[in-house]
Amino acid sequence: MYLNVSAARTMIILGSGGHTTEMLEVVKKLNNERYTPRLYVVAEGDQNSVDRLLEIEKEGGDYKIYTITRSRKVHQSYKSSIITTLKSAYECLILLLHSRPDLILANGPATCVPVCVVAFFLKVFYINGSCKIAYIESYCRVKSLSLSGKILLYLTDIFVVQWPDISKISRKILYFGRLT
Amino acid sequence: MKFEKIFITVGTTEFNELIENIFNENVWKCLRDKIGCRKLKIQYGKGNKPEFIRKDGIKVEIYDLKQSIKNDILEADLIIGHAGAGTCIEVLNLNKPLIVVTNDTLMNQHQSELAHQLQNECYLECTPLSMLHNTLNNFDATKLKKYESGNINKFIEYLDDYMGFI
Repeated sequence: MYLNVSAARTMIILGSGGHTTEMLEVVKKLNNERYTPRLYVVAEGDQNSVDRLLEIEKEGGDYKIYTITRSRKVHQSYKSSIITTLKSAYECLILLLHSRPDLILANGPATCVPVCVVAFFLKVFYINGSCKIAYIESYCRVKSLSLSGKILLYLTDIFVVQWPDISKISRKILYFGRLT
Repeated sequence: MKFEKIFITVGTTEFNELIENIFNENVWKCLRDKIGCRKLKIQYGKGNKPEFIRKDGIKVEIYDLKQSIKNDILEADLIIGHAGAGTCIEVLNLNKPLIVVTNDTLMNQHQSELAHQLQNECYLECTPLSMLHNTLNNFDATKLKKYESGNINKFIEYLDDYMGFI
C-alpha cells in the first residue's frame, strides 16, 4: 500500500441496465480530484451506458471512454466462443497496457470478467503491479455470488457484497451494508 | 384496506401468467369488492397482450412498454409487480406499497431471492402467483416499513483509505 498518492487512474467498467445504474451511483460519490482520470469501459453498442455516464461527467472532468466487444453472445458454438474469448483477452490486454489504471472498479457485468482477469495477470507479472481491483457484487445477490463474482473473488483486492448472508461465503468479503 | 388505483407492472420482461391471473374471477372480485379498485393500469412488457380483458366495475388501461413508468407508479395507491430488482427499487424509492409476485418458473431464481430479502425486512410483501388472491385479501400496507436508500459512503471511505488518500 502506498500513502498520500496524488491521484488514481480509475478504470470503471459499465455493464448494461442495472449494473450501470449501480456503478454510476458509486462513481457519483467518488472524489473527482482523487480518482482521475476516469477511464470508462463500455460494451460495444451500449449507447445507453454512454449517455448516462456523459450525464454525470458533464462538468468537464478528465475522463475517457473505451469500447470493448461483448465477450459472450447467445447461441455461440463452443469453438467460436474460445476464439472470441481469446480475442477479448487480447483486447483487454491492449486496453490495460494503454490505460495503465491504478484502480479498476467492476460490479459484475460479463464484460468485467476478461478485463479483471487480464489485469490480475498483469499484476502477477509486475507489468502493472500496483493496480488494485475492486469488485462490488450486485444488490440483487442476496445469498449466492454471481458467475462473475465466483470467478473474480480471489483475483480482486477488494470484494464487496450488499447483504449480510452472502458476506459469510468467504472471509475475504467485505460488507458495508446496502449501497442501493 | 382500500386501494382505488392499482398499477401492475412486469418491467421489461414477460409474466403472462400474472397478467392472465388478474382477470381470473376470484382475483378480480377481490380487487373490485374487497380492495376497492376502480382504476387498473396494466403494463405487460414483452409478454402477450391478454386476449380476455374484464371491465366490469373497474376501468382498465393496458400497455406493453414505456420509456418511464415513474408517473404510473406515482399515480397508483398500490403496485403489484414482478420480482425484478429494477422494479422493486424504483417502487420502494417512490415510497409506494408493493406486492411482488414471484415467478417460480423463471430461470433467474435469484431475482425472487432479493424480493424475499426485502420482504424479510418489511419493505414489501411477496407472494407466489397461486397465493395472490389470499395476499390481496389480507394485505395491510401499514405493516410495511419505509425504504431508506443504502449508504455508499462507508465503502468510499474504505476505498479512499485503501488507495492511500487520507
